[in-house]
Amino acid sequence: MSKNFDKGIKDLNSIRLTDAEKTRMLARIFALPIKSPYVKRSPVFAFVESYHVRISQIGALILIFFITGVTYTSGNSLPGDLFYPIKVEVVEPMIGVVNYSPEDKVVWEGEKVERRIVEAEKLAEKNELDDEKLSNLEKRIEKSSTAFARAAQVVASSSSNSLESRKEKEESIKSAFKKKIARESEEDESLEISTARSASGSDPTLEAPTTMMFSAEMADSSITSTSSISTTSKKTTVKKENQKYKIKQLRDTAVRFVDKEDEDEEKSRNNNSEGED
Amino acid sequence: MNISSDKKRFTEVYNKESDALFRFCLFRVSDKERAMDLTQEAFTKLWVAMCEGKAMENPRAFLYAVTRNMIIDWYRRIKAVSLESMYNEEEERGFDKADEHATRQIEISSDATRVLEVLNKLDGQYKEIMYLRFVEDLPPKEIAIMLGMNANSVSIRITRGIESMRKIMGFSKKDNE
Repeated sequence: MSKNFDKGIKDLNSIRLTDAEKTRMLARIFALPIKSPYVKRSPVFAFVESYHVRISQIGALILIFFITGVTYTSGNSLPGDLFYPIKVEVVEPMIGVVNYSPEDKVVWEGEKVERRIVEAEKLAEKNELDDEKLSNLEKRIEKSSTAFARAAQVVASSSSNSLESRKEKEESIKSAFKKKIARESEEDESLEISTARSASGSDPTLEAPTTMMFSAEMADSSITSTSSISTTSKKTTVKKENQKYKIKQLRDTAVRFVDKEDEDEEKSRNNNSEGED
Repeated sequence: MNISSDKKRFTEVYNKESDALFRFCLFRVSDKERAMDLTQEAFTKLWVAMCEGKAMENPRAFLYAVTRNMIIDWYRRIKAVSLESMYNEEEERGFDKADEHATRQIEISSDATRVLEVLNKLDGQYKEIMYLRFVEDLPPKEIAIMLGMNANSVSIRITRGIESMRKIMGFSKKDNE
């Protein structure tokens, strides 16, 4: 364009940083604390970021979800169910470990007995309470009642120094438990009576489904419909009575084993005194 | 690759590009200290990128891209401060306003000042391209890579920029011929 313009461009091009400025700038850049990928770092918690640990963390998480799910599902399981062993062999013992104080143990063992009775009632409702399940429940009730009685003894002995007051305390705990079991039994009976009354009094056709179940057999044996209804209702009543009796047996077992400790103690005391005589 | 080879490579790039980058910054911000700060910041970013093991095929393009962004940010900040100062005229602000017609603390010839004046009068889209083409004497292809543009559009802008410069300087095509 012009000589002056070319000269101006040359002059502009001659603008430079001085050597001192350049060196200082370079030194500043290198002095900056920059993380280099070449420096091997070994932080204390570096293993947390490793692949295997992450996999195991995910695995642990899945396991936790699985255990939580199984525990939750097993809560409503009944004898004979898949998760019932988990409920009685894993979950309940763990709760028992948490309730380690004698007072908590009394409450927990009492609750376990109630749970077993409720399970028996639910099975009875479904007509699934067979002898095997009953004996299994009975054993568990025995165990829990004995544990309850022992815990009650410990609570009583820690509450007072005198033998009499201890005995009183123990008796009060046990009698409260017995009353509770008995009250539940009465409640169940009254409920059943009211249900039976309402069923028979208001609408006799309520029993129709049960009749229908047996009608084919009845037709074959050429028995009249009236007699078939009465036979079916008899069968149902007998079955219900039988189940009721079984549950009552369980309640009795619970009460009996609460007192069994005392009886055993008394027997051993008598034996000792006889031996001394 | 290790840290010493990275340092060596960086020093080579630094020695080759630092003056040109400083001039570019000075042309854009017209303040020596600010231009030095921007130059250092751009090289620091390059050094960090190299330390992080990022592939650096064209360090010059990286440096100019980073610098241009930083200059844009700087002008935005200046603008924000200026707007604020309009509302608080009594309050004195410690920021320097970019002066388009002066380069502080650097003694430059009247011819160089005239070139700067002409370049600064150019439209924004030609200014940088014309500077890089005539002052830094870079080919259009190189400018295109540095500015992330097409080489053809850079060439077109150079042609149009030359026409604009002629107009600003009062030359006609005949004068040149």
